Amino acid sequence: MRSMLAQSWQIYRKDMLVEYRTRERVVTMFVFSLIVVIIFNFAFNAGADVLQRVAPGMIWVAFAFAGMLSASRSFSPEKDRGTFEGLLLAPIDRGSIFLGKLMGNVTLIGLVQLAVLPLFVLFFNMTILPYLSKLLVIFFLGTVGFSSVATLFAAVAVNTRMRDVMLPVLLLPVASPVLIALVETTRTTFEGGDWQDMTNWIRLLSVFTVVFLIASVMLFEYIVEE
Amino acid sequence: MGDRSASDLAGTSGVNVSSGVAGAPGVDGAAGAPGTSGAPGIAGAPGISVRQLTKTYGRFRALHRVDMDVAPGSFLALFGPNGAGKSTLLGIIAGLVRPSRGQVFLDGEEITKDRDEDLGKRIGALSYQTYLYDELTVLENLRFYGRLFGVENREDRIGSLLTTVGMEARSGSPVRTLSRGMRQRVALARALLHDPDILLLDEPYSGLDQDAMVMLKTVLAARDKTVLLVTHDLVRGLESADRVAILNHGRLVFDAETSELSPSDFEQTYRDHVV
Repeated sequence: MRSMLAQSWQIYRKDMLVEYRTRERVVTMFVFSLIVVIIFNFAFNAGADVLQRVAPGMIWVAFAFAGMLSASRSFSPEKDRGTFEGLLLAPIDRGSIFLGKLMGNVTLIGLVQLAVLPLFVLFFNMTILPYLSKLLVIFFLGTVGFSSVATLFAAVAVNTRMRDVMLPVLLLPVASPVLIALVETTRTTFEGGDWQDMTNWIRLLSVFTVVFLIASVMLFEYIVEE
Repeated sequence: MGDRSASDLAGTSGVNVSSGVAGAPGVDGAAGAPGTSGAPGIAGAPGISVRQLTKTYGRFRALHRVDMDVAPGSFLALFGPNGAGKSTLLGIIAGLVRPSRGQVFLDGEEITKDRDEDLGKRIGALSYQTYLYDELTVLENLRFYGRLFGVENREDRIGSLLTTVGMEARSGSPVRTLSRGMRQRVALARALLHDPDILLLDEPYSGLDQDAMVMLKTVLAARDKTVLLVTHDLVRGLESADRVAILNHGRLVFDAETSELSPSDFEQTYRDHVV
C-alpha cells in the first residue's frame, strides 16, 4: 500500500508539473465554470429565496462539467502521445496510475472551486462564511466521490472512438446519486441546516465515495488492458 | 537458400518459430521447454517463449496460433507488412495486451495468466512513440521514469546514459524543443534506464540520424540482452539480428538464421511470402 501511494505520488507530481507548465486544464475548467455562473446569473434574476434554492444546483452543474473536462484531459493527451503505454510498462500496480490521476483531478477541481466559489457568492449576493467549514467537508467528500467515478470512466472512454461523447453518457447516470446528494447537502447548508438534517445524504455520499474509490483501484488494471 | 518453413527449423538454433503447424509445442507450458531451445545464449538474459498465441479483435484475428522461442541473449528481427500482427505480438510480450488464447513464458515462467509487476523491470521497450512528455525536460522525463522503475543510483545512471546517447548537453531542454532523432535518443536512454534483460524494439530506427543509428547498433551489439526487433527495414534488421522471421496475416510464415541469408535473397524471400 505504501509503495502504491509512493507510485501514485510520482504520477501526481508529474501531472501537476505538466499542468503547471501548460495550464491547459485548469484554465479551461475555470473559464467554463465562470461562463456557467455568468449565464445562470442572467437566467435566474430572481429574489434571494429562489436563488438559495437553485444555487446548489448551479454550483454543482458548473463543477461537475468542469470535473468532466479535467478527468477527460487527464487521459487523452497521454493516450494521444503514447505516454500512457510508458506508464503501463512500468513495474507498478496499475491502481497507482488511477490514484495519481484521481489526486490530480481532485486538486484541479478543488483549485477551480476555490476560484469560482467567491465569484459565485459575489454574483448571486450570497453568504457562505457562516457555513464555510460544513461546505468544505461536503465539497471535499463530493469532489473525491465524483472524481473517482469520473477518472474511472475517463479511462474507459479514452479507448473509444467517440470519447468526448462517451464520457458524459457513461458518467452522468452513474454519478447522479453523488450529484443529487451534493445538491441536497449544499442546499441544506445554505438554508442553515445542521449535520443531523443531512445525515442520510452524507451517508450516501460517503458510501459512494468509498465504494467507487476501492472498486476503481481494483478495476483499473482490467480497464486499461487491450 | 534460406527459404525454410517454420517446422523445418524447429529446435535448430537460438530462435525457433512456428505458427499453427502440426506438431507445434502444446499449450501446457511444459511442451517445447520454454526459453531453453538450445541457443548459444548468454547467462542472465531470459529467453522468450510464445505458445499457440492468438489475439482477436472482434472478428479480426491479429495473431493466429503463433509459436516462437527466442533463446537467452539472442536477437530476433521480425518483419511483416502493416497489420501483420507484429506490434500486437510485442504488446502481448510486454504485458500491454491480453492474448485471446495461448501463453508467453519468460525463462519458463508464464507471464500471461496474471500480470507480474516485476515484468516491467525485465523489459525495456523502444518504439516509434518515445513515451516522453513534451512539457518536461529530458532530465525530468528520465527522473520520472527512473522513479517509476525503481532505478538505483538514479542520477549516475541517467548521467551515464545521457552521455551514451549523446544528449548530456540538452538534458535541461524541454522535450518539445528536440528534433525527432534527439527524442528517439532520449527514448533509448529511457528504455535502458533500468538495465532490462529483454529489449522489445518496434521501429526503433525511426527518425534516427546516422550517428544515433551507429550508437543503437553498438548498444545492441553488446549482446547482453535478449532482443526482439520489429522493423520494415530488411537490410538493417538482417545485419543486426541472429535470426529473422516474417509474420503475415497473424501467422509466422518464415524464419531463418541470418548467416544463411544475403540481403538480396532475403528481399526476394520477403516478397515471396508477403506480396
